Amino acid sequence: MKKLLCFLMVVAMLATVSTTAFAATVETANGSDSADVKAKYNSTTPADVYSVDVTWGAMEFDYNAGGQKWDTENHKWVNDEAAPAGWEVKNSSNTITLANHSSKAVDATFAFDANAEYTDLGGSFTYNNAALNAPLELELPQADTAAKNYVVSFNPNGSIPATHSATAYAKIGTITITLG
Amino acid sequence: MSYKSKHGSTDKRKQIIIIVLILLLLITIGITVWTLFFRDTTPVLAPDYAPQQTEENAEPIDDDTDGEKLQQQQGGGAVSLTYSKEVTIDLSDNVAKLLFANPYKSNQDMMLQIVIQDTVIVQSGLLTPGHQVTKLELFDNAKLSKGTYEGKFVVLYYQKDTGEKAMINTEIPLTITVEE
Repeated sequence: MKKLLCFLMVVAMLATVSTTAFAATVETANGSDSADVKAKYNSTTPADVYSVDVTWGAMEFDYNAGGQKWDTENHKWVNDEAAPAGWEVKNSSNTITLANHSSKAVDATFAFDANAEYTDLGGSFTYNNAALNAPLELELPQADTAAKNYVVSFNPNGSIPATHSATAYAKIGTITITLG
Repeated sequence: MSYKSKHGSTDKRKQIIIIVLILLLLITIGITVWTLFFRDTTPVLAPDYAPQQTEENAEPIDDDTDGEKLQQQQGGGAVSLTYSKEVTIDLSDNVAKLLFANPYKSNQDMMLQIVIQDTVIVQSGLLTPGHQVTKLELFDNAKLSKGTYEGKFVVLYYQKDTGEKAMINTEIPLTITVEE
């Protein structure tokens, strides 16, 4: 009895479920009517894509400790002003080249950190023969064109101790490129 | 039970509770002292030679398994980076969700760190050219809470033939969203 009652109640509930429908009355034979079809445009902004190429040279430098000459009057070695201490780049290996393939411009900044024990050593960066003291903007690449190459040069300054390797090129520090 | 023995056992119970509480207090103080003065919080140092293990979460990049390599100077390096500047960290499974790719045209292997407030919270295994990561596991000692952090990718490069770390690395500022 209970099962029969439940069945009848379920049927009654189903009968009350309705679906919204629209209808129009066509009052003439072979007539027609129309209804509007609607749609909505949803635009999606794609996320920016960042892609940058970085190439760098061997970063090998010769530090020339500077010449000395014999002071015949005071009987001692003194610095030769004609041959001062300084740095030479080997094989033009001091360049860093960047190319931006991103969907936005990218700012690049450069920093040199000398090895902890080389307290008298520093370095600087130049772009187009001018000192690079601010972020370098890698422009938004133009559609259907090759990305522009930005060539930055690094030059060490200061000095390294005589205990540094004299037979092979050994690491003196690290360059960090920040892409913002 | 006599009045004396009843009160005697109550006093004994109280004494045991007091002793236990004192012990708990001493343990808590000990943990606090260790945390403040003796816990090792030295930052994770990047290896000077390539990690032996390839990153287990690395996936091949679709349609990027061959093609031309970037040109590099002798002794230098050439890399391409593709990345997103948004990272999401899910604390429930200790995973960082990100996008970082080392395209096939790179000539260097890479290792990726995620750094927040000078603390390395993620360090990948070796990421070889033609591979990308979309998730990395956090270190167990990464202490983060729900919210947004400013952090950075630190990308280290390793010579493919010698495994030696390059003298150039890259940093990329990030926005890191931490969810529970």
